[in-house]
Amino acid sequence: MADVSRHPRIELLTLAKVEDVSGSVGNFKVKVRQKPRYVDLKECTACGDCVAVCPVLVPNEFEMGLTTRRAIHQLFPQAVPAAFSIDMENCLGTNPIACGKCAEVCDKNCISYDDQERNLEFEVGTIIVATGQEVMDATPFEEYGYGKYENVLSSIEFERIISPLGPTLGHLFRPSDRALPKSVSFVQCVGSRCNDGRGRSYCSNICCMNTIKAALLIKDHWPETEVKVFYIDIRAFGKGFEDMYNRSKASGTLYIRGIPGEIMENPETKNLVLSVENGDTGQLEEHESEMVILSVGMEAPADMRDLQTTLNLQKTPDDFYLEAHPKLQPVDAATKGVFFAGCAEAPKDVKDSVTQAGAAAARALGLMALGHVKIPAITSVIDQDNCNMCGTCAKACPYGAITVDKKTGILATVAEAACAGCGTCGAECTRGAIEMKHFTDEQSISQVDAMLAEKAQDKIVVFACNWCSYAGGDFAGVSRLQYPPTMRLIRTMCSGRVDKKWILHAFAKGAPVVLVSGCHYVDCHYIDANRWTQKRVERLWDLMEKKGIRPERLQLEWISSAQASRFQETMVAMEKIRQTVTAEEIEEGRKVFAKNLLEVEIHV
Amino acid sequence: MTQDFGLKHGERVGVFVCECGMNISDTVDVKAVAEYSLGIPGVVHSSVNKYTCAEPGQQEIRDIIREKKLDRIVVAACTPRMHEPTFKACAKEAGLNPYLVEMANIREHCSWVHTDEKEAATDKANDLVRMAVARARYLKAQDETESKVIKKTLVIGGGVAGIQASLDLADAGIEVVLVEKSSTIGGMMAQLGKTFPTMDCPT
Amino acid sequence: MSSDGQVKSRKPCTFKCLRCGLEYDGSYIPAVMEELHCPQCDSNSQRRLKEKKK
Repeated sequence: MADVSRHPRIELLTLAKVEDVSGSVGNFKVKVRQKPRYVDLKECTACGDCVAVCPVLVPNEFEMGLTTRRAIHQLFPQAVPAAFSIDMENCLGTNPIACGKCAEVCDKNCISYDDQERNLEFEVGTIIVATGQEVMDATPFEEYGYGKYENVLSSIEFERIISPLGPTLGHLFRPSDRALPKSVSFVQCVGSRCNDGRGRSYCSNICCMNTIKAALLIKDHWPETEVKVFYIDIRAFGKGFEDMYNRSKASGTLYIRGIPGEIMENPETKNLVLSVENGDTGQLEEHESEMVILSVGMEAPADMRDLQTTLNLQKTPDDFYLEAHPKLQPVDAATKGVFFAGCAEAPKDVKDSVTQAGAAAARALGLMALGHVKIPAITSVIDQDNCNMCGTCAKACPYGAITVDKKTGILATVAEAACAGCGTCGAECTRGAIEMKHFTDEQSISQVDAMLAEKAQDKIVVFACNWCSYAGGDFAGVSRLQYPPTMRLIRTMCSGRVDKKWILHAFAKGAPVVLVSGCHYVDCHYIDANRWTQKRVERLWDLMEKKGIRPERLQLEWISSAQASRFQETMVAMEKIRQTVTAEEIEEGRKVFAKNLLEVEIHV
Repeated sequence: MTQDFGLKHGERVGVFVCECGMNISDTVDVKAVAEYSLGIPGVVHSSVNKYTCAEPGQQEIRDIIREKKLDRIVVAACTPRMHEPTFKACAKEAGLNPYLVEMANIREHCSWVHTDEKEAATDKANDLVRMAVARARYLKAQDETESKVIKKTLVIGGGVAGIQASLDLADAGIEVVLVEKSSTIGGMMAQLGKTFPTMDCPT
Repeated sequence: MSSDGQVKSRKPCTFKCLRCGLEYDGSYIPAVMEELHCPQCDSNSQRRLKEKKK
């Protein structure tokens, strides 16, 4: 930790939050807001004179409220930067007349109640997201009496109690009488592998080993203590883990398969009685213990959401960030130049966090070592001769990459570095003035033509975005999920690219059914480009109805890259719809749209 | 049997059909697909390979691009999300612009999902190749623009992962800005007394 | 909820699922796009019918 503050190339901004990020890989413009510290970082020597005179006492959050701290404080002695800070919510000194004791006593005059928030702006080439994890709250698990019974603690509170640097300097005690407990029980999977809404459905990865570690520590220092661990499974899969588990069992810790249904306190002794069905014997048992530790799970910090929007990241249903590929790009975000380190991506232990941090650093370094990055040639090109400055494209662009202004006569212009190539502008432009490199109208319509040249009535035209629904189809393939062989898929980068012209063209060529598919709203790889897809499809349904064509022949589905079975089910449903479309209906579609469609015929 | 899709100019497309071991050829009649491909306007070559992505398969593509002066290639194999970069690089080595490569996904989107319908799967594979060829004929060579990468990194979060990433990058000569919401770095790691499996102090 | 944190009023509306045909009452917020799902078959092909039933 101290290496960070010493390093000449690391600028550390504490009490700071990333407010905004714009730009793209290689050149992100970052805005950071830094809260005032009220203590001059450079001058403060952490002598502690100020703390000695501060009259305010509040619970110390770092010690999980097991001790107190002053309003001017350092969360723990090894804090970096090694300087105090004032927690202004509790300080009496915003008006120095009220208190001002710390400023008076500070020889170096480093305390200033007028310290202001700072807004910083700078540019970076790459970004590493290491937002970490938080422990879950055990309070909703009322059957365990957390918060009600003094001697029921969470694992993170226990961690502080047993830490040599913690409030008790590592001396084990139980809160009710500050005595060394003769028996300690651990309850595993509190909040993890939980499907009743009070916790999370996933395994938090670290709690089994954390408990084994804690049990070993207790047995090392106080061998007479009776230690029991109540568990569903012990997951000791890492290097050296099984060995630790065996050591713990050999040291006398009792591992009992079964999660207590209830914990009751004896009001006199403050001891706890755990009722549990022992999974090995099938017997209902009661175990008395002087102290109970709830092994709480890990979850994504609530403030991850702000950064998700700022950086245009995706999240998994677990609320952790989604990596670009679970196996092949495990530390990359879908946004190029952004990488994940540590628990931002999923709960993990220190070793895995360090490993992943190294990987993220190497990935970022890979881009920076070369000093330049190639931008895929899939960006939009504007034919200004055909632009009437209507402004639709600029409105549709999720990245604000297009500038146009009718009043001042500025024709649409695209900033190529900011364009991500979704193609929504191209699909929305009614004048045909925008072409997407590598995803032109001709390229897609030629695929429709090739598909429907023979036996059009037997085929389902599917437009799918590269990131989600196409990938969902890939996943269906990998999973060998079978579906009718009637669909043919045309790939675009984003469903926002799927032009109205393409869809009508398909009907004019005799397609019985057309499916437009993209990412779920939360997954859209182009921020919100797929909202335009939906608007467009809704408009087409109205048009089809007006023209006497059943709107059912145009379908819209959101399918994520993980939803192999949704992909399969969708294709089965499409085939059912196809079978309802009569030859007359197909002919009607051909006729109706052929009339309107002269402009989409390709003249080469 | 096939029609000209409005194209006229003498594009020279090569179609390379992959067996993917037996992953494709168990379901799709790859020889029939290769034969069918020769009838698609613009196609001047087609062949079947056991593993197109393996070095001998790529070598064949490079040789045939040069030998038959192909100006576009279609690889009928797996998903482009897997091997498109491979074949783009392969084409480039043979002097063909990587943007003139198109893939037909006859594995994930065909052989693996229609295993009991060999005939229909082969028909679909034919269509997928025909569609890929049609698109390929409209592809244009593209030059990728290069954009400068600033040698500076923003690290968000000062827990063990953020600290490690910052140190690794700074040691490698990169400027780092480490942004932490609390008044100190350390994160959750700093709260741990000892860490498994080594049982040592984390800081 | 919209992104500016204000709760905008929802308008009642009849939806039709273009996959399974189910017609059902729901609501939407004008000018705010939402992901729509059929309560019966989970399809996203949900059409807001022009004629709103009262």
